[in-house]
Amino acid sequence: MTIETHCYTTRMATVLPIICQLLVDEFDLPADQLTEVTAFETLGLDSITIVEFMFMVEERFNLKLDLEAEPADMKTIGDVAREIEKLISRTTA
Amino acid sequence: MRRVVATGLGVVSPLGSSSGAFFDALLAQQSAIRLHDLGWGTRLAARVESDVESPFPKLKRIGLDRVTLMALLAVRQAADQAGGAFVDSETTGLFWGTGMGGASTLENSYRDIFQKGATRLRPTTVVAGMNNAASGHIGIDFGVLGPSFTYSSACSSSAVAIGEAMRAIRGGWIDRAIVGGSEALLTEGVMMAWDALQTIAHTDTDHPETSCRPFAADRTGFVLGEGAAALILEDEERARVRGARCLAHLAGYGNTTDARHITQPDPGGQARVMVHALADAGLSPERIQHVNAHGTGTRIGDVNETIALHQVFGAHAPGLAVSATKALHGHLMGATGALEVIATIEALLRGEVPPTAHLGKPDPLCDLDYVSEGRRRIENLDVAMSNSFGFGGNNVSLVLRRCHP
Repeated sequence: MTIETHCYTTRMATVLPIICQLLVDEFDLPADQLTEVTAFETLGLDSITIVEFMFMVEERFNLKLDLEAEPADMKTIGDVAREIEKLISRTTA
Repeated sequence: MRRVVATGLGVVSPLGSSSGAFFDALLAQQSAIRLHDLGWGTRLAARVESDVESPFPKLKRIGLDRVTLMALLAVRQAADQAGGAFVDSETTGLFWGTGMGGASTLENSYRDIFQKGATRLRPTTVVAGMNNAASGHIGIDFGVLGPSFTYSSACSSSAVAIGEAMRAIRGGWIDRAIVGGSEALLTEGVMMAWDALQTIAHTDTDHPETSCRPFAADRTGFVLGEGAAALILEDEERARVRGARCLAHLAGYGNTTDARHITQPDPGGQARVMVHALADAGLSPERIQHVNAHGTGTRIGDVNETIALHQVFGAHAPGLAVSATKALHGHLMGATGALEVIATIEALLRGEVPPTAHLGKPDPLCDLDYVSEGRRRIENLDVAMSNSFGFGGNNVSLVLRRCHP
């Protein structure tokens, strides 16, 4: 319930809740603190943990994020969700 | 010259997760050695059964191998006992020992590549697996800004760490140190590698817990164990001024190399290291009352240590109470030196030494007093020695003295 309430937008109805759920499952983060605009830094993730999380996201969606091209753009949960959405739409196009 | 005292002890061991519980178990002759079904095979091992993960939030555990979790828990205990703060101090150093670092992290990564066909690995593989991962995280958690070292000399690693920290404090380079070692090598690959070396004890099928029998005629080797042991060492005067309790003096340190054989221990190198440690402590051999032996339970190792003890102590050798505690806690490799120093300090604090367990059948070539009958009180127990001899030929001997108020 909490994930759907806080971590949801119609634009990314599928991807965003999955990413939030990953943060809950893998890092025990409180679901009610996770929203589209939440920055990883504010959740206590440091640079190495963020990279580890990106790896988990890639595994979960079986996709490869282009981290080297735009590292600065992956600061929030929404940033990652948008990138995944983009990659999914590219692969299904 | 400044004197060095221990003011805090921390233990995460197969025999309990505090210094006191660990030593109680040693005195009571409880063995942590068990036969474990490890999925890939059944092996003797001395495992840490307490939960070392739940004390840490899941987010913190990302990138932390078991070897680091146990290290942080042991250091926390030692720091709590010592009291005082190390935070943001350049006069605090960090001296840690480990044989195989994050063994399970590396092994899991190899499994991912070779078995599961992974084309890339978890980004934290290097930082979790590297040998200095534990010391790095201790530094972060406890705010150590002074020098830090990770020693890896097999079975003597954490004994080296203690000795070198002692020298650094004595010399005035630092005022206090977090020292010790951790080891978490009970993985399939590592255990099979040890099997192949033929130094592992054969399983006593009726009584597996008695399979490691140092100095006994029917000894067949050692049993691998895991855990962490930590101490806080300080300049005696500074510890006294801040009102910290002195648990033991670290009086002497010797470190030698056999330069003979990569695995076979040399009594000459062992004798030299004990002589150096005694000289460093400024004590004659007759002053030593108790020895926590390296005593692994291998055929040749125990005979050679006995020969070395005879060489160094001469007519006093039969008067030594020699204990080989690996029979009960297993061989913790990089952590074992520090764990046995803590056992030695506990013995000095309590005036009682632990037994060498499972020594039912004496070996004529091992002819010293190994305290085989059980725990023993020693009146006025004042000076003791702890030996650690590593594969590769590195030998360490530490002399410890009881604190006098």
